[in-house]
Amino acid sequence: MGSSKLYKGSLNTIILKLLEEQGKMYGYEITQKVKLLTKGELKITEGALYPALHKLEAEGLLDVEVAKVDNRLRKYYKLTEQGEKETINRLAELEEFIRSMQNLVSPNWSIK
Amino acid sequence: MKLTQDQVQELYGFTRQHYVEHYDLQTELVDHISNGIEEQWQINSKLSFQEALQKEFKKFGIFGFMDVIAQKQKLMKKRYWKLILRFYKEFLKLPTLAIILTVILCLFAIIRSIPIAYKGYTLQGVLFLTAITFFLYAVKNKKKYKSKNNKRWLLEDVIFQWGDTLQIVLFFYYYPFGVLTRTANVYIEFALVVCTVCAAVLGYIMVGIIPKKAELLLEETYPEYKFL
Repeated sequence: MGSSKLYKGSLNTIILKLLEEQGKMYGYEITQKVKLLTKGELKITEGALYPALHKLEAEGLLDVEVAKVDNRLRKYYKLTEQGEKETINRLAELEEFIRSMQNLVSPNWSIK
Repeated sequence: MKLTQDQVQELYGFTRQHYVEHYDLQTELVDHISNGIEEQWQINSKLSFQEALQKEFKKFGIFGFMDVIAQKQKLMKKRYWKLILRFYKEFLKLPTLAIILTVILCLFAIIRSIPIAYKGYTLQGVLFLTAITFFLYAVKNKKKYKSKNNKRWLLEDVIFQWGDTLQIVLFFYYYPFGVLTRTANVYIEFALVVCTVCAAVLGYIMVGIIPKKAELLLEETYPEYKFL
């Protein structure tokens, strides 16, 4: 099913929402968490995830922390204060979008 | 099963082979691929390191790491210009602001005292000499940077790449000065003097200030820098 295309425009909001819930996450963890939550329906490709994370970081919405884990360095992303506010805004926008789509797809035809 | 230190180093080599030249991005990709390989080993422990690596790399699509590299470069250039703006704002505070204003007024007084036919050439000359001085300084900075045998960081590359490029652009920033040889308009003269001094300040920030602070800026930009 091509539902991944429908998720694509919401990738940044999905990342922000996950970070809001989890506190801090690294790239691979995000891909796995999304796969798990959507029961495999949405697979964030690596080629899309990192550009999105780097853009959110450049916009000042994410902060980065590095830790040494298993012989290597791991980069964790977490929300900045600005990121927390932006997450609320973007989730509200997304909810509004979903409501509008629901109205379009299954409108209430009842005539009063 | 976890990756050994040698295998992690092999992954750094792998990312380099696939055009990821900078340590900051290499580190992130190495960790991602390592996680993928280790997860594959949980399912099938007989899978070789190379087989698992190729499987992980395929997940990046036909362009491999190219999308990630391109986006990162674009964002880093933006970050560099923001840095320039930050230093420029610092320059526009006392006491440097007083020096800048004095230079502008002195240069303006000199231009006013020169016959119309030579005004444009004088200002072009000032700009040319400034640009060539900064260009030579930038080339010297770059040579010093290239002789360093350390790991490469994207921001550091941008810092040492752009210094001389902009000076070349300044060489061609001549056309507006031609009007000075045809008009005695005081406002145009003043505007061009201000532009010349502003261009010189920009050159100084790019070539004289930012490269000297490169180490500090890298620490500020990359949390992983302190691990080296």
